[in-house]
Amino acid sequence: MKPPPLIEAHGLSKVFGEGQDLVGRMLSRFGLERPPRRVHAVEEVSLTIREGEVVGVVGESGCGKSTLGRMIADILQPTTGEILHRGRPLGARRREKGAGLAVQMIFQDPFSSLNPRKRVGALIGEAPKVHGIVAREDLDDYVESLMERCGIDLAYKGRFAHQFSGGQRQRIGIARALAVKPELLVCDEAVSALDVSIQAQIVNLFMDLREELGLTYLFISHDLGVVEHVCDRVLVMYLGRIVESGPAAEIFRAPNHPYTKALLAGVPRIERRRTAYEPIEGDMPSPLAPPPGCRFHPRCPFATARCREETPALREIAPGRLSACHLNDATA
Amino acid sequence: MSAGAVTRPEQAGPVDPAGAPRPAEASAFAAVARAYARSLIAMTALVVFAIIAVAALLAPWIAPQNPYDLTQVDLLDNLLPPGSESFSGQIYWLGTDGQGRDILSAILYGLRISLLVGLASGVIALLIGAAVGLVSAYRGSWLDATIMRIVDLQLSFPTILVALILLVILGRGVDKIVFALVVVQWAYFARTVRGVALVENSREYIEAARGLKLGHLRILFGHLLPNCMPTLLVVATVQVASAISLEATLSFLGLGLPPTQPSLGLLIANGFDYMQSGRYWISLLPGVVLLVTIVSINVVGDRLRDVLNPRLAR
Amino acid sequence: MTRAVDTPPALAVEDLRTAFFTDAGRLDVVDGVSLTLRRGEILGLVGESGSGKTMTGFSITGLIEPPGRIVGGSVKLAGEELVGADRARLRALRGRRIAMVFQDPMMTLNPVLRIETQMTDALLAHASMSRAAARAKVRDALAEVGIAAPDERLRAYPHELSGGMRQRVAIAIALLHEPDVVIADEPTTALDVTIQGQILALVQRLCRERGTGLVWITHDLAVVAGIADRIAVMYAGRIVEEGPVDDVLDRPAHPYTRGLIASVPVPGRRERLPQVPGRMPSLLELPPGCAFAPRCAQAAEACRARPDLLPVGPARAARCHFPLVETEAAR
Repeated sequence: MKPPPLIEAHGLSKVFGEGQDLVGRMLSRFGLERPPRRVHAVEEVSLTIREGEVVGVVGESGCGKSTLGRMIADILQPTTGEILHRGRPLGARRREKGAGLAVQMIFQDPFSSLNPRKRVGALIGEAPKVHGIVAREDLDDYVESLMERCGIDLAYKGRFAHQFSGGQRQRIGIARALAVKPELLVCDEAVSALDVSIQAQIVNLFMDLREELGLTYLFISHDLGVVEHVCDRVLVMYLGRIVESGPAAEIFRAPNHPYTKALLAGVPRIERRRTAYEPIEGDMPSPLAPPPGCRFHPRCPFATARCREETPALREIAPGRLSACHLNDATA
Repeated sequence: MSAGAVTRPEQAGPVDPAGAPRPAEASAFAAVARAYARSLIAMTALVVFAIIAVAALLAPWIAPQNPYDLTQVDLLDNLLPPGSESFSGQIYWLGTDGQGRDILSAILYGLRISLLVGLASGVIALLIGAAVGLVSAYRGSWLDATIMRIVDLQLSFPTILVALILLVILGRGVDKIVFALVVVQWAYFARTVRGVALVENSREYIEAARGLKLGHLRILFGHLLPNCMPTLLVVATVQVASAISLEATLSFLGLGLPPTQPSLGLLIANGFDYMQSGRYWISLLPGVVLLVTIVSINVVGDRLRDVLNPRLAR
Repeated sequence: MTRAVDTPPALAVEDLRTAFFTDAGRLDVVDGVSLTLRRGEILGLVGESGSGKTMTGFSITGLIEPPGRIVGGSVKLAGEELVGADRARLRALRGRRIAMVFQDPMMTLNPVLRIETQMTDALLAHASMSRAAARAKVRDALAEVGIAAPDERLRAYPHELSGGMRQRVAIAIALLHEPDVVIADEPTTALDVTIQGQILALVQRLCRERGTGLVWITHDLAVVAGIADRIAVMYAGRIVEEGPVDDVLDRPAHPYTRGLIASVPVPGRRERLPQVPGRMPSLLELPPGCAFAPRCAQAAEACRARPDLLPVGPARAARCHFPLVETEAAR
């Protein structure tokens, strides 16, 4: 039998709402208080990540890709749906010692992702110490080996994070995640805030680590150039839902969903000189009041009456390729 | 936090943010101390408060007499104006009260009690309030909403009224007034700490700690709390000052502390009757000391807020 | 580079120098920058964090605040000197003849005023007309930057608009008086890809139509490739390379420019990105000579001396002792 994939997620949804106490709940039940506003950040997302893969998630702000990443990294609890790690629920594994650490996250903002009151050595060494990953007397050597692996000068071990540049901070964040020996790294816009030359250094570091440690990546980014460079497979999200997924090369070569097409058309590239941009119209709708039917229909140049009423399902359009668009029915 | 809302690290500032780590290992405390010292008024206030605190601490050794030891007090020396000489040749620099007690000594002993009550109630309220605020912010959801509703309720009652009612029920005594002051103060700490903790809690280093499964207690007290400390310190100074003045008010009204442990408030009350007859010093001098104490603590608190608030680190 | 003498360029910056005087020492954030911008031309000013590109923009528009100060050079707006001009004159020019668009549109917009109020105020500050006429003009300006239902938006407060819409309003305000020059500092960096595309298309069209000269300050080479006519690359406060967009991007003359272009991920199977080692030095610890030398693979003894910005081809210049194009030409 084939071993279960590294990560498998079924029907993940996440609803954010304001907290309400008992009094508030009673009041809103009787219509005396406004019910709390709810945002469906992620809706019915299913995905599979196989060992050794680099899976990209692209989409614009508010599409839910960061929330999805946080659920996979077990930082946020899904409202509905379940996540399996090697065939067993992530929630169940949490109680096993050290087993909940298989997925770690690398964050976007290198300035807020490191505790400003801890020194580099403690930032990296805290988790392995707490979880007993290395013996106490070996901790120093362990931290130093991680620093070397991530390209941080050992002389900086006693410094506070605020004394570093963005690129170095990102390296510290990577070393911190690697310290608990994860299998999957969720990189949430991990290179977006960095300068181009620094960004290249960090992307290269990710790829080196992948080879050396056999890491798997979920690479979340709005920067399609980076995603295209590093990913095997890509998921495109729009307003909380996956609209298209498939092998990166195919999606970038021949996008199927109108939103993916618009997204790719809008990407500035060095080869495109004095481009006459023909952008799609309109803003992303508010996630508080998503449009009915296909969520992209208000901006879609091909929208029909059916798109305004019926939510398209994510269906296979070619082996390994899924798309959620009614237009595919006409051609199929 | 998601997608395109990427802010470049480059701000308008002239200092290169991508620069090499600063050569000198700047200790956060030293930097705060240096920034604090740049204000002359704040330094003066700090020195004044230090003198007051040391004087209060050393009262039994530096006071000319123990005003509550009846063998040391001579009723014949009563109501002497400042600078008078007693029959025994002792000079009462700040005069005496109706029982012949040396006002200077009474003030020093009174300060002791006032500061003790203020600090004790401030620290206890801080511990309770900080714990409640931290948990509220960290857990969020219905627990947060419930706690904050209780805090709102508490804060909507006038402080002095709550304290008065409690003292009427409980009676007098240092422990009782500290209890009353804690009850009226904890909510301020809870509200402030929750506010700061909410901001810190949304930062990615807390998410990272959750992802690393460091354990709720460790995240709360090892990561969240230390980053709330600067604000907590500022609120604590202001609250201690307000506790001292509240205690003085309650003692002045005859609740609060028993006459055997007269704080500054009680001294002011004792001398109040003599004001009409021109013996101003019995009330006025303790009042001035109370005022100076409270103002100096508040100035220190203000400066701390200025120095700590746009966080120095960065 | 001699051009028609009778019409001065929209913007001519000559050896501009701006320094910040801090506790840590003097920082030369803009160190001898020269730029020329013709009417209707789009110049991409490219650099990484700390390269001085933003400070160059601020210096041109006279927005440098203490402890910073322009210490030398000249900025001529259609022939009129701005450096050393009195405050009143600068204020009169700013907004009318030269305007700035910031990364954060809230630098331009006042959060407590309706869009209509701020736009008509901005208009009436430099033009005399009736309120009603101003309102009509402002309405047209909003429609022109692609805002649907402009009447409705006029009544809105800035926080009621999306980020992309706010940036459109900021652009509309910048273009209200049809200025000679607009300085745009990373105006699309915080926006989503599809919205960025909309803004780029808009700015491009408006500048061409009206003959407005545009300096587009950015870290993103790809954005510049899409809209600019010419590129100037900055490093550590200095321009290291300048020239027509195709020449610079296809045949970079400076090793830093080449490194930057190579660092941009290209579609392909995950081979290592060629990377520029290290990072930009702190302005406090600039190496003598070429500031890029410590990161440069081809640095030699000669690089200890400071290179000048010298011509390396038609309308091109580079600040390098061993420019890459010259060696290619010599082959």
